[in-house]
Amino acid sequence: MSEQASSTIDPVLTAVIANRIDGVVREMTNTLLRAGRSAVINSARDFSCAIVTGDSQLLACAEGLPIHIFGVHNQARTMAEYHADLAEGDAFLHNDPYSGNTHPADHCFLVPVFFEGEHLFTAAAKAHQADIGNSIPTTYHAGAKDVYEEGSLIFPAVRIQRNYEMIDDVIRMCRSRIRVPGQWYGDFLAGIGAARVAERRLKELCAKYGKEIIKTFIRDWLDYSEQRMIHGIRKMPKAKLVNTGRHDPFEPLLPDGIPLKVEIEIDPQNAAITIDLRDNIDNIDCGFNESEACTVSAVMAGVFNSLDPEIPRNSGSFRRVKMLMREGAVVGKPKFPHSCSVATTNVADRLVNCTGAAFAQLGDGYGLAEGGVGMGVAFAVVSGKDHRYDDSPYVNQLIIANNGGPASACADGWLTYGLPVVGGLMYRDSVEIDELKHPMEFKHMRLVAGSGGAGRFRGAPGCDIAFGPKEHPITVIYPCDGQHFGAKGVRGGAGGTCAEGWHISANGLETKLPNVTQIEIKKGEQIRGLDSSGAGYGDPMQRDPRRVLHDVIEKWETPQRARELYGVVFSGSIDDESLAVDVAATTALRDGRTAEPATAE
Amino acid sequence: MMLLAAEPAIDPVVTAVIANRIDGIVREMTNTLLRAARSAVISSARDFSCGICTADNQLLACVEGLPIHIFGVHEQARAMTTAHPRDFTSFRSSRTPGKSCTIGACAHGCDPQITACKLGLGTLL
Repeated sequence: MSEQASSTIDPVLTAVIANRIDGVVREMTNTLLRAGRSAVINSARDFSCAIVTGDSQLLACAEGLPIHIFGVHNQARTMAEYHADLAEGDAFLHNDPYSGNTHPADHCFLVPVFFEGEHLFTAAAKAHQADIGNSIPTTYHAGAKDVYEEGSLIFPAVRIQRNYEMIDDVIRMCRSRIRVPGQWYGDFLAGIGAARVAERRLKELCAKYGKEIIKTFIRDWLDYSEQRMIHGIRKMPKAKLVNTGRHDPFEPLLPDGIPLKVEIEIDPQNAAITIDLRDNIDNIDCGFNESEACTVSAVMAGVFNSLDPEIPRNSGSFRRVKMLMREGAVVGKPKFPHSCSVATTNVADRLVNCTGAAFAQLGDGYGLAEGGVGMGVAFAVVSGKDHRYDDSPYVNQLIIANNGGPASACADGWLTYGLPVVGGLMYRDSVEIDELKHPMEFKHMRLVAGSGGAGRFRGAPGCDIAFGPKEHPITVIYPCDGQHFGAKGVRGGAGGTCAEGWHISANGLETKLPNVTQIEIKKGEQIRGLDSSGAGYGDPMQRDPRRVLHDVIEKWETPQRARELYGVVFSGSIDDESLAVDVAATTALRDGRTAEPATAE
Repeated sequence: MMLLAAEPAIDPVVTAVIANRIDGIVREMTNTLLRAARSAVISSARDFSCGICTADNQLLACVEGLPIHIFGVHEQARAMTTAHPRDFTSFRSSRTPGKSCTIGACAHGCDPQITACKLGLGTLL
């Protein structure tokens, strides 16, 4: 803020305004969800909204996806730096991973909000596009050796509206270079619309309370958030944690995968957490490099997953987390022109896991296990021609995977977790809607019983899914992780199962596919995929037998695993609904096996 | 096609003089680009062409422009005027008394001519 805010306001008023601003973010979110044209936006909610202050601090992000939104204030800063003539009525498009964005597929719409001539806020709506004009029909180009091979149109905070009027040049550029341009244009209008809704509401808010109170609120709210963070960190023990992770191989470039290392220093006395990421490999000649925004967001998500969930996520609480990054590293600040095409998911997912699980080293009750990773068959970008509409082209990302969530010290993994970077906040597609929108047919979708990593609290199981085209061939592209290295358990919890993918020929022959796949599926053929599952927390032998019983009745667990991994013996049977825990036999079995560590995969 | 009724025919000599003068402008464009360009494909190999189109998008002159570049360049001028209807007034209306000629901002002076040139860039992204 340019001017000093006045003395503190009533804490109740601070809470009221903070909730009102979250309400504005939710109204933006609903606008975009209802107005978006592509399924990845209007069904899967692969987008996030936020309010940033005039001096480029993240103020509120409500249910924004962690990976999208924790760095969005840096894009607002880029906008202000590039445009000295910033004015009311402007809107900007930003998707440049080298000046603050996550990856090029996330089009971020930025609207500076002015009140009484002062730039008080920036409204940000960031949506993953169905297509961005990449050299192949996917928004995740794993094989792109640089930004040129990736092929996306890049907009480094480019003005798209002036004085509330559209700058048609940019629209023409996109229409000339993005697949299914009408779909893109609908999402473009929805994105601007969401940001404009926020502008209107924030002006109403300013008119109601006056500029001075709003400025005082901004200062107080960020300071309060910092205080909450200080209290959260002070409750932790002083420690230096080191954790490692590894992304799957990507043949032939990365036969050993991508190793990751996160070093965390917790300093309760100064209420600070320092994350050192500098000991990581250099940028690689493919699309798996992290943008700075994704590095920061993924690590921040891992940190927040290990803290009191009530701590507001904004620039105030971020003040207590220091990140040490190296330029030209695969996680950190990318060196141009290395591609960040897949920055929001794969390596970022591993970073969320690696950071969150590190905190479990502090002792029982801290941190969480690793969640299921991998954008496999059920996260593929599908494209082709639609025989129902004069063979018109379609392209869209399916968001119908679940990838089991990780167990924590007090809860089982969330079933429809999605990915570590979205933490269950995205929606899943509906099979019926996907079949209506695209000429495809789902053959089956079912949970895999017993796939969740065992533990005192267990990871959520993964899903088994298969689909194929109705008429013309369908191009399926995905950059899956978690097919070689599954999610790891913590504090004695077991790891999750790996993802897999198969091509099924017309005569039913299943052929295993590599983890990074581009394939054309013809009529009569199918593609089948397994999601990975979440890992467990704590010794499975300590799991409440009643929870194991419930899991078996619901077919989330198998009776065999109940006995072997959890040491739970049942009497009766599922068939006549008489299944019950045999307490004496269970106690005897568990007493005899407490010495054995749980290592089941 | 020129919609504006031309003035009575001028002296053929004047016609030839102006035609050569316009070719001279194209050559001056060409030399400017050749001397100012940074990439070798432009500054050494001259993989570019210049042309002058009329305001109603007919190719008027292209001297030593490469045939593949330049014989259709008036279609791009047409795309420009079509894409920016509010910024470009037509040749006819620009001559209408009382209406200003807004193309002057893009072309040279207030001459109702539109210049266009084509480049083979060193790296096509």
